[in-house]
Amino acid sequence: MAQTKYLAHHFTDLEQQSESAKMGMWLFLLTEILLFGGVFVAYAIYRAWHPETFINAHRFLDVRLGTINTIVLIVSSLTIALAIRDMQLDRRKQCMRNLIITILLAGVFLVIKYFEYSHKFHVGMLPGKFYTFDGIEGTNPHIFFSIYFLLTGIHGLHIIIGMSLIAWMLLKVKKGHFSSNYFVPIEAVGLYWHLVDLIWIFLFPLLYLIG
Amino acid sequence: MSHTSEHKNHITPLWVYYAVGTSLLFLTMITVAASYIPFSQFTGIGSLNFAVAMIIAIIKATLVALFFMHLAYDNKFYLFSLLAGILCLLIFIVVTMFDTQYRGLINPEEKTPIIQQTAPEQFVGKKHHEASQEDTHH
Amino acid sequence: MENSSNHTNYLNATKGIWSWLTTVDHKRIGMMYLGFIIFSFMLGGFFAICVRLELFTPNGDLFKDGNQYNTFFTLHGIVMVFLFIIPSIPAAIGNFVLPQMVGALDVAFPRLNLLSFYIYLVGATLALAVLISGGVDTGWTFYTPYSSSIGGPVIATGLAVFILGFSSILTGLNFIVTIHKLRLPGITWFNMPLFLWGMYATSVIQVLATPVIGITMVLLVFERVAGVGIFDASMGGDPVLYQHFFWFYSHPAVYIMILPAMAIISELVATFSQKRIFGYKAIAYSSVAIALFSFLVWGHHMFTSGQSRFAALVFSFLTFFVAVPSAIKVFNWVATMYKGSISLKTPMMYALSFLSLFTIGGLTGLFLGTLATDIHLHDTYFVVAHFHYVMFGGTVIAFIGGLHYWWPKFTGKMFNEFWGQVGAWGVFIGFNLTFMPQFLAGFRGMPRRYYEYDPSFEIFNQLSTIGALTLAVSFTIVGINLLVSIFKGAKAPKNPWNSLSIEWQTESPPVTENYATTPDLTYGPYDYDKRQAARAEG
Repeated sequence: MAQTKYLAHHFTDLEQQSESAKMGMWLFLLTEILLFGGVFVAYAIYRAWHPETFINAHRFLDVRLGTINTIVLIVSSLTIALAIRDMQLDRRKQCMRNLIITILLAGVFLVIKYFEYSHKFHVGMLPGKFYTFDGIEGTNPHIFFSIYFLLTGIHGLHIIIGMSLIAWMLLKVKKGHFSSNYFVPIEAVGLYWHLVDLIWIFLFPLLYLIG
Repeated sequence: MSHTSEHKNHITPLWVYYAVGTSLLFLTMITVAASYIPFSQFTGIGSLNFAVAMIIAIIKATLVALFFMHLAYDNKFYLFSLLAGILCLLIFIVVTMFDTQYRGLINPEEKTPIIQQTAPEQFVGKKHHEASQEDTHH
Repeated sequence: MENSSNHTNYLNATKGIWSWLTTVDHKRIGMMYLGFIIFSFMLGGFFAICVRLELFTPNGDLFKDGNQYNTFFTLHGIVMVFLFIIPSIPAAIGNFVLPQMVGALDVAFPRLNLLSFYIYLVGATLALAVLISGGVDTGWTFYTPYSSSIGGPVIATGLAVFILGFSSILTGLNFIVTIHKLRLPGITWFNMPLFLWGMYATSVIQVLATPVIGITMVLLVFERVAGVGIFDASMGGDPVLYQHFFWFYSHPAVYIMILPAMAIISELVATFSQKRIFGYKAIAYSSVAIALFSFLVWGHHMFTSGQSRFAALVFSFLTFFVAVPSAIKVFNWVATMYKGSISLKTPMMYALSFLSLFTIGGLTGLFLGTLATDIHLHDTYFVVAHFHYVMFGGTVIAFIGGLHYWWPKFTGKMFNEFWGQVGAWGVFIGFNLTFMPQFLAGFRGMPRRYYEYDPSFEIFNQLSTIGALTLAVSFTIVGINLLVSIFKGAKAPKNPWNSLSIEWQTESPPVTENYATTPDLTYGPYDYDKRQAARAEG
């Protein structure tokens, strides 16, 4: 069995190792939920305090671009799930293809984000004390953009991390490190990627579709 | 321990993945469309749009979690821990809002931000007390 | 009693500093943590002594001004909380003992374990750099708007806390998976040592709560850098919101501190009473209950901060529940001792200290949890005394007790029992002398974090400072006793305390693989009655 060389010395078999790895990744995902959660708390509280401002401010976000990004991430979640399925069936080439598509879609997401951000920089819709835009009615409009940039910025950072992890998995698949007997690292990265998608599923309506 | 190998070998059929993916895209369209419908005008309930958006988001998240992330087929512990994490976050949001939303519920003077409160009569005009006006609630 | 003194063990299996720096052996990682944790304790203690020396007199005569004093108590708090107490028992003792208790060769993710050690070092180094560059004077709680607006290395300190938090998260993650997945067949959830239940509950809190302090520090950094306006009123934010964020982690954090201590006490009380622990399931479930309840009560640190009275009522009400599982444990430990064959060796002295000191700490928490009395006691020395009784009289005492208990396993040597007793008594007396007067001072109204105070509080402060110096001397005795034992101590047998927990079946010190042969699971860790019966039958 080629995969026994990947069995660590303290595990009795690959199954125990795989299940441990999966459990570890799920626990790590919990920490990410609580990490993002903090900013969601800030969002909830400030939206409850300044509902009008949030409604007025969010109109300056581009719903079309946001929708496209949502579609992009959903499809990327599908492709990475398919990639793992391919590895379960020992279809190395298809797995690699799906991983590449996932990375490309993530790249599209970042490009669209770049356009959104640069537009905002251009008009002065910046977080906190850098905010200079004049045209939103309501109290403390800069807080909406502070929270917008915090949420999407930290999310974007996780997209970049996710892309790197998927690229790393791509390399390992290419080198033949995985098979239907052992592929849990790809599963773990897939879980991470799905979480990034999950967070966006909530971010999108909360930021782009208020009222 | 052999029963767990069935979990490992479970290969989700292709159609399930495509069905979930299609549903997610469909639900996305619904969410966007629903955001343009002013539910509050029809029903008089203020935050109905928010509730609708959140319900759809939860359905989408459930689909991703159960099928893409395999929770429907895997060890129940993973599902349990995900729910525990979400519960923890909900406690954080809800109980914090017990504070932020209900200031002034029991004593009315809490409702105005401290900076905007006017000082009690005896402190007005006395120079050395001016600095401590904002300290009354610290 | 003879033990092969030159057998290959985890300490000498491979040689050279590089073999230690790149080790994945949980025992070596635990010992490396131990060194830095003890250093942090001494550093935090140094700041404490400085604070207590200043407070010997009512006037501010030691420090050049109040800000310098504030810096010293801030650094005392930061070092003690983040560099010492949160990692202490899990990283130093847990890392070593936990895999052995489940019968495993290592934790689930040994390389992650090494990584979390290095993350700890990075965070600790950053904190030390902050210290050397003059420190911060915000209090270890970093309340806004002071922390979001003053100069000084607040950002670096926030980053240090963020980094140290990651180390804590990864340790907790590792432990949860280890306990779930690496137990030997035959070791079940309800016959494993209660130490593991305590560590499991701790790890759950570590995984769920620590990310929140992480994001809080990130938000604080952004508040300073970009003025985002979340926590600072001048930018439209709410300072009380910062406190919610901070305490959402920091309250469960105190249970990260006490649950491992309670975990140790379960082991000490059973072994040194040579008796089955009373109410195994009650203690196990209480550990989980404490972890769950800990997330519901954070607002009791904020009764006078300006949060809504409604929230204050809810928090006060819930706070009373969190005391119940802790009390259940104390009753069960005492019941374990009843009709036990009690041995008053040094570790047991610490366990007994814990029982009395933690009880006092816990009971005084009730006054603080009650809204009406907390209005008067908040920000007084009553609070300071309360949390030192639970964190120091609880966690640190249990930590030192556990250190003595497992010392023969860690080092293969026995410490001197006489000096161990001297140290234990010195710590107990010194501790009470330091902190009991603080209850009285606080009750009479002495505010905390003040470097000058009304002369009517002088006698309490003087007693407290003398107590602190007594503690310093006593800890020196404890430290020297343990250090000397490494070189001059008697060779330790496999099981000097006659415990039934399976880690005592390893050699002292253990081989790298922990168990030479599969551990004997005839007896569960608390089956003292069964063993006695078997011996009686001959």
